[in-house]
Amino acid sequence: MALMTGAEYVESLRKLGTKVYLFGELVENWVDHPIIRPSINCVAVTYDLAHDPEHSDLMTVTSNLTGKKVNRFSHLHQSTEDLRNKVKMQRLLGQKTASCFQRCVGMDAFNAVYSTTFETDSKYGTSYHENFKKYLIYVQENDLTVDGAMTDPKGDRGLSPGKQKDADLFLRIVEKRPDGIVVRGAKAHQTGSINSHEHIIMPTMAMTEDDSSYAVSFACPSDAEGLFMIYGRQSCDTRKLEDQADIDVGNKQYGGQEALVVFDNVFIPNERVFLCEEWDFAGMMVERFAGYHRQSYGGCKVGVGDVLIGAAALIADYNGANKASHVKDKLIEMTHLNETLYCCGIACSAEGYPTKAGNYQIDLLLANVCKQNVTRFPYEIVRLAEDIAGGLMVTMPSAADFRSDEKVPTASGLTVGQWCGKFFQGVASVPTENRQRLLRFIENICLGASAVGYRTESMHGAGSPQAQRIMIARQGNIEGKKALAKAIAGIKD
Amino acid sequence: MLSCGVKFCGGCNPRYDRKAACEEIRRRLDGVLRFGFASEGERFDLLLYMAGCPSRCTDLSAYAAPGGTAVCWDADMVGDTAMELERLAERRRGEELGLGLEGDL
Repeated sequence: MALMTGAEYVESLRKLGTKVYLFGELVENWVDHPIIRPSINCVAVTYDLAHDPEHSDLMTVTSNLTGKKVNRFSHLHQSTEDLRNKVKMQRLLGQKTASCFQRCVGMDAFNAVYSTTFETDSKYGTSYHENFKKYLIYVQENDLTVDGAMTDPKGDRGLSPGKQKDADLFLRIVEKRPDGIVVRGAKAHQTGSINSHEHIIMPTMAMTEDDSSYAVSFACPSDAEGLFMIYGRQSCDTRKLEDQADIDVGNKQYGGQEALVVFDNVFIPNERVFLCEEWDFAGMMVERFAGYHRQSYGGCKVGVGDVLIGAAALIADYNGANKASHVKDKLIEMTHLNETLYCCGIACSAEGYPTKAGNYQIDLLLANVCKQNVTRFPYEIVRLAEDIAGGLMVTMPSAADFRSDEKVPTASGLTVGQWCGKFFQGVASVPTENRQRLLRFIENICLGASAVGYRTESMHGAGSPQAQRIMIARQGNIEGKKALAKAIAGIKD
Repeated sequence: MLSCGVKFCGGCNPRYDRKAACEEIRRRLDGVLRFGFASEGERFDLLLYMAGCPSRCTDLSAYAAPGGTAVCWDADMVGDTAMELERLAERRRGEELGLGLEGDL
């Protein structure tokens, strides 16, 4: 099958029997639901740009498995150039959507599972790597979107999986059959899960022998029997349901999505199993996935940052504040922070290396430094954007007020809309509606629906800040640094 | 008329409007070269590579253009790139003519 277009991707979702609950009810036509659809449009961009001559060079690549052209989102990185191109592609998509485009988790899972299964097979003589290769060829040839699912609900964080009061709080194997396994549990915060054709499940953390039934990795279709999703709320999400929803939504076309994915005794055939109780490889899979995903944030968030910086500069123009030196300086600071994140994404890619399986892994220390910065810099970029935009971003009346032709019974006899138009104009040559649209757009990224992706996802996505600090401590070679100091200081002990 | 394939880099963060620049180059060479998007394995006389920044990171090895490649990575290079393409086209035509004469002999 050739690479799908965005429209073909949307149609392919209609053929799935994915079960989605939103506001307590099963959604019959989730593809066209106004709250969900912007996130589908966002994934569709990953398909459309693969056909665009201006971007196909980044979006497509030759598969090492089949020799055919595939979407980069289903590719196994074959070089440091591939790793860098991944980050570049993510920046591009952030620029085009100003949202989380959701397809990275699958790509990061492919690369982590590919190398981990190779090493698991080497130790245990299992056939997970072959299982996975066949699966990935199926994904590539059908140009599928796959959710890479790692995070378990985890219950009491002070207890191991097996010690939880409710054993389902970590996804686990509940039955082993000759032809496969039955799994039960859930994956939380699943980005793009509803928009994915398939799911790849990975363990949420390193496991001990006592928790071997939780050391499980597999793939299944999103509409597998026993699998359903409960849609995550986002700030200002019901604005999308309003009459003539447009300006107040901020970003009408695109958005991200997260959901709780529940597995209520789902059967997984043997050929789709990639880890089954080999507990000593759970940590490797987690570490590799997290590393790739921490690299990802050095691209995607930078692209969104580019758009926000542009919006901040534009609103300064519209407000007539663009010549103020402090505004110019804030734009420089925003750019500096944003490009620093990009430097980290490119650096951990450039320092990548081949795994035993042959695909390329990023430098773990630099990828963790990258993500640690991502837990901070977007917040400062948002703060500066809000500073430049002004308080009107959160005090402006609704679009319905601007549209209103209801006359206010005062001396002037103007309508509500006319009063809004009069008092919310900035630079006279700029239509008030342009200013209104831009302020809502900035609001959308800073504290509306897209803040899920740009702020809190920057904090907790791909692991919370402390997870990176643990990795930085592990990789930082403090003893080596002590030796450097001793050598120069002339200390001989 | 000689053909010229246009190859855009992936465009991760282009520092100018590559599309507008490319259109301007095409406009300047209207009637001189026949432009089309370059694809791997397809043969064009010349190649116009529209890079988004000075790193020019695209691997062009799969794009055959015996007459040579002109590269643009900045909006200020539009004029020079068009002239370079014109020069390459002239040389290419000369080569073809030369080959033809050789064949006649």
